[in-house]
Amino acid sequence: MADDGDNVAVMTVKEPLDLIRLSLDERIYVKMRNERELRGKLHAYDQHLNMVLGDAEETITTVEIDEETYEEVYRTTKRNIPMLFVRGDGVILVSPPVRVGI
Amino acid sequence: MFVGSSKERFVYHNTLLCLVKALQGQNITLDLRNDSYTCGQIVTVDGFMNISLCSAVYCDPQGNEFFFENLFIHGRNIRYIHIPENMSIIATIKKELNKNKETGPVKKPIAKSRKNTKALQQHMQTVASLDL
Repeated sequence: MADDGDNVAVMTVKEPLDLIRLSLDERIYVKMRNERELRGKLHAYDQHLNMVLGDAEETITTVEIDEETYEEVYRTTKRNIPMLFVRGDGVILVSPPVRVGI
Repeated sequence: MFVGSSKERFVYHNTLLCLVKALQGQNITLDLRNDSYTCGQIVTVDGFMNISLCSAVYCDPQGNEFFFENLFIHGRNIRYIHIPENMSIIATIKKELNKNKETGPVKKPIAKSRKNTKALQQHMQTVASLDL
């Protein structure tokens, strides 16, 4: 049989989605379209990157131009949703939590 | 049983669409792509995540509220679905998929003609005679 060399008990990353599988039941960061960000505990995901996040915190960043100084003002609004289904087509990137010893 | 084309059924059985389908009959909030949101009771969900709601309230980005007896949401316009807090995700998915198994169509074994049986017998004999 092939691939007997890395027959390890530890789950390895063979395809990109495996990286997300390693993040199941952990808090992850999701960057969404339209300057939205999500942080939450990943309960489930699928190949479209539809996801279910628990205790999700959504951060929306809006840019406004100051009337007098013409400077760009970034304003963030946050809200918390206890359980959220995210449709995959809005997802830009998924980042696993920072881990020690990778 | 999930009704739809083979592609829709594939998506239903292989993605989190089954979770959305399991929300049928519940009152939920949908966040849409154009910053509007709508609340209502889910009537049906199809394989493209198109959702029809009854007694729904639609809120446009300006904050105006509109009431609809029946409302159809195109799946592509969905950004988020707010899931009831106390729902267990994995248990719900398992329950939803098992529900289909029980009610699924029972496939009858196809009665084979004598010709087919004979051909199969001959084939098995040939295979057996092969020195594998």
